[in-house]
Amino acid sequence: MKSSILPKLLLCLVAALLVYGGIGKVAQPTQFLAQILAYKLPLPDFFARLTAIVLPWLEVFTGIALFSKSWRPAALGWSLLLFGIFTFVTGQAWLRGLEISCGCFDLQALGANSALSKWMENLGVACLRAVLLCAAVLFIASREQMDRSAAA
Amino acid sequence: MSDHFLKQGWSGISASRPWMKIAGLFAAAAICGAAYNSTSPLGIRFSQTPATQAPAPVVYSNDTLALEARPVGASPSAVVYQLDSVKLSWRESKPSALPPPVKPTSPPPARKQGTPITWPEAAKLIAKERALVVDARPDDAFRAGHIPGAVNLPFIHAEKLIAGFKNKFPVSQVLIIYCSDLKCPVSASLADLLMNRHGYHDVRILSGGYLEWQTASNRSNPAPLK
Repeated sequence: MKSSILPKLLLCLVAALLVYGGIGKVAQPTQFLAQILAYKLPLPDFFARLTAIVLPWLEVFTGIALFSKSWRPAALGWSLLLFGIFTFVTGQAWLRGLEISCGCFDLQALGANSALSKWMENLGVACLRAVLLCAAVLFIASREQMDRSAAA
Repeated sequence: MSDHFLKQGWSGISASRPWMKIAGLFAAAAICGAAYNSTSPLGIRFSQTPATQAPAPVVYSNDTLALEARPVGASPSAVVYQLDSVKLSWRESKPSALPPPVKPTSPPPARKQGTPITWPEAAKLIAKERALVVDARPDDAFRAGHIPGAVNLPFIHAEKLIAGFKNKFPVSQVLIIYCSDLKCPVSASLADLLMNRHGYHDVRILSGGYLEWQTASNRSNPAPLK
């Protein structure tokens, strides 16, 4: 019984982070586009705009779909891909020494200059967080598979 | 152990053939994103000013200034904005074929630069000298939010818009230029253009840009649209 609590907690955490991060970006799409451009990735303008339009909604829908048992495998797939991309993008920016905030969340509620906001927006922290979330998604997926095998 | 963990994790994801649902999630996100951005006044449009990278190197000579700004990912020659009619060109040649370098007779005149200021200083200037706040960012960023009372003069279109701007605001007008944040170089470039090509005397640069104003004013939402 105890062993099933951790995956559920992690599932809620991953879903909440996706929905929270997504809603902040949905509310301010041009600001999110500016943050994408700040990463100075060799992306065509069209692709950067498309990402700024689709990605926030994808985060929201993926987060919501994690709560549905039938949609969970697909949502876990997207979560893994999204966190993998976040890991790569924040990691390469961190290694290149770009002095930008990660743009992961809308942190106005915490105060733009608060220590927690700065810590949350730090590129190195964001990269580590994305790696941990990748591991969490893989863990949840493995437990899902084990539960399915046990039920069969 | 870790290999087993990875395999279990991936098989958990790929169980029950979720490909249709994976595509479904993406399609739902794409539809909502397109619908929201096309109807919202704060939305991103594909037809608007291309988002630009920082201006490429500035080439100076005694009486010539060339600036380049280009859409992200475009090749350097794709879009070039020249501020005068001088055409820059080059060709390969052997060093011996080049003419001897011309020694400059006099040093080039010093270029005027905009004075960096902070938001509290800018607020005083606005109140005392009725300084005009100029937003140098692209129009979609301006529409998303700007300092109240600011006028938009996107650097990327400055050459086209400058005549209208000069008609409205005389060269004696004190200007405060800003772009997105501390790392944005566009306001300095626009200040250079306005001072050295168009004769504005007093141009200040809000160093921290829009982000500084947002932080100073503790704004969580964009300024209302005009």
